[in-house]
Amino acid sequence: MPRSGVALVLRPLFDRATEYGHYYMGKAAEYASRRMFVRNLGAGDATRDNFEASLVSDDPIFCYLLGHGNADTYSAQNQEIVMRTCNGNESLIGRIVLLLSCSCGIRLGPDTVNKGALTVFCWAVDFTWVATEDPPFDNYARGFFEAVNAISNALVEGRITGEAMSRSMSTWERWIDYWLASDDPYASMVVQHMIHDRDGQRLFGDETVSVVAPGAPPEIITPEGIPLPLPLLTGQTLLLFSLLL
Amino acid sequence: MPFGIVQGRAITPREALEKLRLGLSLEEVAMALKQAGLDPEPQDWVLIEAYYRKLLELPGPKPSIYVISEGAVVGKQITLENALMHVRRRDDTGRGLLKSYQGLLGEMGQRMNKYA
Repeated sequence: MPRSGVALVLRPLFDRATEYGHYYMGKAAEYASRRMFVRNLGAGDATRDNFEASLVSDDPIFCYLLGHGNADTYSAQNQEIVMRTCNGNESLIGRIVLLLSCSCGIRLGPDTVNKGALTVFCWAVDFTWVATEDPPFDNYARGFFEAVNAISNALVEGRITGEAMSRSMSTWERWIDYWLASDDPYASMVVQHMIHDRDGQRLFGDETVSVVAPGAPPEIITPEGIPLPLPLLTGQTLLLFSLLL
Repeated sequence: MPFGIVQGRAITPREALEKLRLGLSLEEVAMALKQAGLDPEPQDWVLIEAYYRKLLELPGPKPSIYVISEGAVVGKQITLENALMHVRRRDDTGRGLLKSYQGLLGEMGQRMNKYA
């Protein structure tokens, strides 16, 4: 039976897209390590062999997985296939999974729950974001990954899966509000893709389970500060003008 | 003249446009329009093409769109120039961008309705 208080974080790093997930999942892993044992497999360590070895030796209750994917496939470092709808996902029986990978919510996510995973968070669309700078300095990308990390952070704090989903949705809303109120020329583009990801986010399985021992007092964190919002209606007006002109 | 049923009620083209503007019952309205041969999608293609052209005219460093899909038609990074190209081609990636753009329009309609 998977061990409560143990997490596996798999965060490949091999192209421009994975740079962002790798960076932000590093933050989530660091936060999780305050309350859980975390097997943090990054870059060249994010392989199928290491993933499977950790499932056996660490037996984590929580798996936070990044990688390229599609409706039936999840892959890790260098697009090495880790699991498919009909092969490999049985290893997630009894676990809570956050699968940050495109379109896995179409078939792989629900299939994984049908095979016995407790809960799977995933996306029924291609997960997309907008960026210009490198991950630590990019203001556009930040909100996308903070909304995803809101799930893992809430779980680490002892929240149940349904609450983690709600917190993530609230984080999406706050960031969408922020960008709607922004006079950044590309704000509408950020909002467009945030809405896309928010609406494509799915929770399959049990909404009442947690990754840390029952009764553990939740630790309150200060959310990563969303910059001070401009007046909402002003921003919305600007955005509409940018769409209509 | 009513042309379709939305939420169990016959609606006129004017009411349909109002619902689209407000982002209400989007899928039902779109389906009703489509069944009546009034598919709004061609108009949205024109809008999204104009949208990306406008974005390309803006000053400063241009953001890219990133995707972590496996076996995608395009690479993992879509520049604004590429986005416009896919929209003009109306290929899979262009259709994906159109869908997210329609989501933006729907959200804006809902929010304008909420704050009206």
